[in-house]
Amino acid sequence: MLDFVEKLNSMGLDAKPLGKWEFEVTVPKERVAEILSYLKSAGFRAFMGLACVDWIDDGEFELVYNLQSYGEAIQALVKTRISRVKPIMDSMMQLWELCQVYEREIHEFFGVKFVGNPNLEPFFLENWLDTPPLRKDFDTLAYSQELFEFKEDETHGIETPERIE
Amino acid sequence: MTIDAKRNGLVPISALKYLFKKPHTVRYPKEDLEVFPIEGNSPTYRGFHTNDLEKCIGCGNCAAVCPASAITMVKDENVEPKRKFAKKYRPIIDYGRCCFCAQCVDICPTGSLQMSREYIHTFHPDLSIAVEEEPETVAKNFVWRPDLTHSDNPGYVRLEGDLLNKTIDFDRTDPRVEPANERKLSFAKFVHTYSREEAEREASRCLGCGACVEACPNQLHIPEYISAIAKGDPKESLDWVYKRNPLPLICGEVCTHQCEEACVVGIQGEPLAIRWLKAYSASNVDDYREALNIRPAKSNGKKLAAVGAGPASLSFGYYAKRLGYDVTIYEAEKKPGGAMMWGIPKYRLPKEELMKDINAILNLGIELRTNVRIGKDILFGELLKDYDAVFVGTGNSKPLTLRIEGENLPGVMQGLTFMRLVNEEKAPDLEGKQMVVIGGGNVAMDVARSSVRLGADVTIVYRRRIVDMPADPEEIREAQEEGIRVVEAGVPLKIYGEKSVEEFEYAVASLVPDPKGGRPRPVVDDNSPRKKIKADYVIAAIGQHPNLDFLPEDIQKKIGFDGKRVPVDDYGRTNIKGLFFGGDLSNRRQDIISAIGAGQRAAKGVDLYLASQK
Amino acid sequence: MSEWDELVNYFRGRSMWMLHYCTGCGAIELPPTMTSRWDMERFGIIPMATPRQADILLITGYLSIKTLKRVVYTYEQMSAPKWVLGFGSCTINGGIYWDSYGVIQNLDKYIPVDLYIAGCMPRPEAILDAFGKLKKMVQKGEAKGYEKYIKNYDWYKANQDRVFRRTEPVLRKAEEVTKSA
Repeated sequence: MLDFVEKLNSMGLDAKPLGKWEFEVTVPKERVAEILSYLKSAGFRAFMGLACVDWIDDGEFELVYNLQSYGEAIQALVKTRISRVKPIMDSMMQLWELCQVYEREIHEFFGVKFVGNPNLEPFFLENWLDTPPLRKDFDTLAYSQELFEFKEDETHGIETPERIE
Repeated sequence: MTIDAKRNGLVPISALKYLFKKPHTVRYPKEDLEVFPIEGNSPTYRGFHTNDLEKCIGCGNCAAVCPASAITMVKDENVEPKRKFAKKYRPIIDYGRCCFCAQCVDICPTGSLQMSREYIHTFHPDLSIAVEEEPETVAKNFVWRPDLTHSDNPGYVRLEGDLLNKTIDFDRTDPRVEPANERKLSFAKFVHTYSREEAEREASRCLGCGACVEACPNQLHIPEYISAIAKGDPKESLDWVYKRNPLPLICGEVCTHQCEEACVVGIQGEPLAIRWLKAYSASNVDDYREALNIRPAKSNGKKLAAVGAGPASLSFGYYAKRLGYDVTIYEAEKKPGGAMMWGIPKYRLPKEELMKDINAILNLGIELRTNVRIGKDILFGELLKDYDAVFVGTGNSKPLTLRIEGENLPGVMQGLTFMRLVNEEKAPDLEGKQMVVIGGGNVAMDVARSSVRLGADVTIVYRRRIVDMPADPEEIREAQEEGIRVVEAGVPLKIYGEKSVEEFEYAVASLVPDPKGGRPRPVVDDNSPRKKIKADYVIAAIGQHPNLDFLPEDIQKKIGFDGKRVPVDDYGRTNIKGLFFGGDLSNRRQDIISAIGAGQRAAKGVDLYLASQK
Repeated sequence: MSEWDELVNYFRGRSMWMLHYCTGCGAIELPPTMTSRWDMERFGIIPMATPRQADILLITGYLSIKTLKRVVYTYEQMSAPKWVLGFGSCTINGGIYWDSYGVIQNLDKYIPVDLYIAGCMPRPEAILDAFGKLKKMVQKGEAKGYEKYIKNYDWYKANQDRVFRRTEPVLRKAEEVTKSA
């Protein structure tokens, strides 16, 4: 596994092992397709999933491609950061057809647009008109209080101590 | 399979043998579950809650931890909690939210909230309920306050011995302390301040419930400053402390720490070392003003005077200055600090730590005039005339005397007088001398332990038991470690001696229990055994009263001074307009933090008073 | 209630067919309840595949808005008399999903519920207990949630439409954020 890490580092990327059977590599947005196809040719033929992390303080989304090599039984996490304001990413469907569903889901829950994906229709949510719900700036409590008409007392009846200021 | 082996026509009949077997099916509700012990729920099943309402202290940790927001604290005046600092709030639980995760049981510091193995409750909203009201009616039916109803069938419980992998960390991180035989050789501070790791480990034990806040005489923001330490930010922590306590390092070292008595972690384990944590954050910030960006408000031209530079006046001065008043503090001695300067020995509070706190306040632009005795150098009436308002925080400076025969012999001293000599480094040579200290308060402990450091052999004589002593238990323990003998139930009778003290006689009193549950009363009669011990010095540390001789008598009478205490309202106001009192003069609890609180409230009181004068 | 109704109700209570449609995590309690261990067939309750043949609808736990839509279809397809059982905290007041954007709070705002069972999830005994109670209620003719639905159809429909047919965002500020995305 260390060969991969060294190879990726020599390609000018930031790769590091995460234990015995896993490594991660941080890739700039433009080189994702290149690195993924390299890894696919190097044995990481299985695409396990695509995840998204909202780093709201940095103003960025992080996309994590999870690949697996059955031959060597190791796992690769390919991470890339994209802007939160205009989240656009290239679709990886030409590498793995399976990406279509994952990208559709991430588009629905984070609002990331994948160029090249033919179908980004809503998938899970019913008639959703608000902010994509898994973004950190979406207030889920305020939303459910408004939609389901209830009022939550967040103090739980615990009184703040009285002080003469 | 035996049945397969015998291939003959009688095989179907062999099925009849199941006729007499116990059925596999649990015939609930026809049969009781006890018939099938394995099929009943597990011994630690998490069913409906039970709560011992007397044991519960209403801290609200369960409500705060609940991930489903199912617990609400509701006040009930009828509950009678057993513990001293318990609140009257009790949890009610919404079973339309509860997911039976039992985090509330794990976090309950008293162990009163438990779970039973009862779990069956159904509700049928019938046709008489209007549809609009139905959701609310249903939800209400699943909300109730747990009590001991199901406690005969306990499920998931946390017993006192079984701390369940410590959801709460019950073990305290103690600071490094010098061993007794070394620390009694010098006046150096022997409790070391926490290191960063120790402080963060200790601070991370805090549950954040704020039970300590109500016990604190000045309601410091304790959970806030502890969580700031846990985050690794002593500066933010000090900022929280400074909101209600401008003497953080002093309180960090010598506060009476009521908060630790109230700490809920201390109910089943050891309470948080709140005091040492405060000392940690204060000693990790070098310049308070710089770090906390403390700026006095723009001067509003009003002048205030404070008499006595003790904690009450310093706190008054600080908070009044922050409100924009010009404050002058008058002090009769040559240095500020009052009892903190002259009464507290250096091994508990080094003088440089004391001056760090005081200088931070004085540097704000508060004028300190030392060596000015009110009533002699300046008359009190002039103060009242010259200033817009006057605050008096002179504390207790008149020691009580023993009132026994021989108390005027040389070698008999009052506790505070002795401590002053020690702090001025003018104490008599005590090397190898026998010393008797009378009293059981913190002053008596200070006297005894200072004398040990000066080489004396010390006996403390107290008229009740050790457990009844008003001094901090750890002071008593540390004093005993340093080799100080404690005589219980000893009532002083007489001091013998021709030129100076030679012998001290006391009677062993019988202790009569107090029917109200208070401390027992020592009774001495003719049958009580009498004992004599050799003594070169006898120090009486049996308490002090205020000395208000500098006040004209008509003022003393008007404010209602009874020789012990000045009656004041919440803001330190008296019957005389513009005259405020605070500190030990008027507080029920006589310690530094109460004095600071009195000073802060008086500053607010002055502000209200002067605003109303316009 | 006529004697004929009494007789009919007696038999109705003794053969309640349950729609085999599981919504939330509570479904995991049904296999032991159905199979030989607890054996709910003793009470004449058997799973049934189609809504038109079923008498009881179990809402086994949380309902997301998307599932609720299907549950409403299903409920409306069932022929009266029909009964609804609400399982566990989620159907009563939101349960652990009380602040979720996707899961409804109170089930009885959308369809009438005849019996609620506390728990998260209720054990098979609690479920059997509820079935017993429902049986008694049916035999006495007390469980009439379906009549309530017809009587208050507009109210239920308004509540359903509130979550199904939104035309504008629930939170006002949301719109501009979505546009920028």
